[in-house]
Amino acid sequence: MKTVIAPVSKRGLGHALRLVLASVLMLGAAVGHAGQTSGQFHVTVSLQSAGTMPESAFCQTDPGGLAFGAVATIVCATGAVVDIAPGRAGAPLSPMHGGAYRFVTEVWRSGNRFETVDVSPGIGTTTLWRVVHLANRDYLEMTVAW
Amino acid sequence: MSIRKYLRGLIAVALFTGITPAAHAATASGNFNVTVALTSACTVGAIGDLAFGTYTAFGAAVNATPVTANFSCTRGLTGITANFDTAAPDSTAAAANTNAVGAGVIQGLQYSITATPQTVVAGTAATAASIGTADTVPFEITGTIAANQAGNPAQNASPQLRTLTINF
Repeated sequence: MKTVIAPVSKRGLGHALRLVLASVLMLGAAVGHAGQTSGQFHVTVSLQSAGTMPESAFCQTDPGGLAFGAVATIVCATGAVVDIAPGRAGAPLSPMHGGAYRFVTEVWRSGNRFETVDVSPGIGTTTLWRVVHLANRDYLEMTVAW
Repeated sequence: MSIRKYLRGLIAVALFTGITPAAHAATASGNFNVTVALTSACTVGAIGDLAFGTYTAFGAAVNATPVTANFSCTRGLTGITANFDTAAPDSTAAAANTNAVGAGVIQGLQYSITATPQTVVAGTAATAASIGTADTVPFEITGTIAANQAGNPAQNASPQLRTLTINF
């Protein structure tokens, strides 16, 4: 911005020019306030790898080492029992849910449920049991984990 | 009065009148204007990482540890606004405002970020003996990863570079 100061011959004219000059300078200052400054930063996160977390909302427990290795499937978030199945190789109960569960599964035999079984789950130890039918005998298998 | 006395008196007067003007050296002053056109500016140092730590898939929401961006600015700036960039992949940013608001995706996790202005620390005025100091204009940057996200390690690696811009 260029400012020209004219020769001053009279006091009044000089005063007017000073006002004009001041206005111009103020305008220049206002323009000078339009600016930007940027700073960069990193966003970081470590996503827990898929190999150490369940692939679904269900968690399974593998008692391992037991005669029949029963596997219980529960809802990770609630501990509600979904299934008990014959054992297979797998990871131990995922730490995703933050603790163990206590639950007693429904037991069925010949299409009839044992009426005395408590089916409510809760926080505590994991208790699984089932009735195994063999040719010459039936027996109860129980798994306890904590 | 003899002629001799008359001459002495005449010489004394002549000397007096001849010397006096030199002893009374006068001053003369001229005024001038000092002018400058100040272009305001801000600078910013390194900004720490906005670290979310470890996010477990399908887990609860995670808040990053807030970081502060300290801008050193021309004293007395007002009406400062801020905004985030949209250069990072899958990132968005609201228009410049008092608070900067944005979002992004890192490792397949959607996150939101906000930069909130903090109390300005006024600099010291310049004096004839000191250049003064800048105002410190801090912005606190916060971020949140929403809950129940599956994530994807292959989408937008960590760390992800973002930019905070202030306008003045």
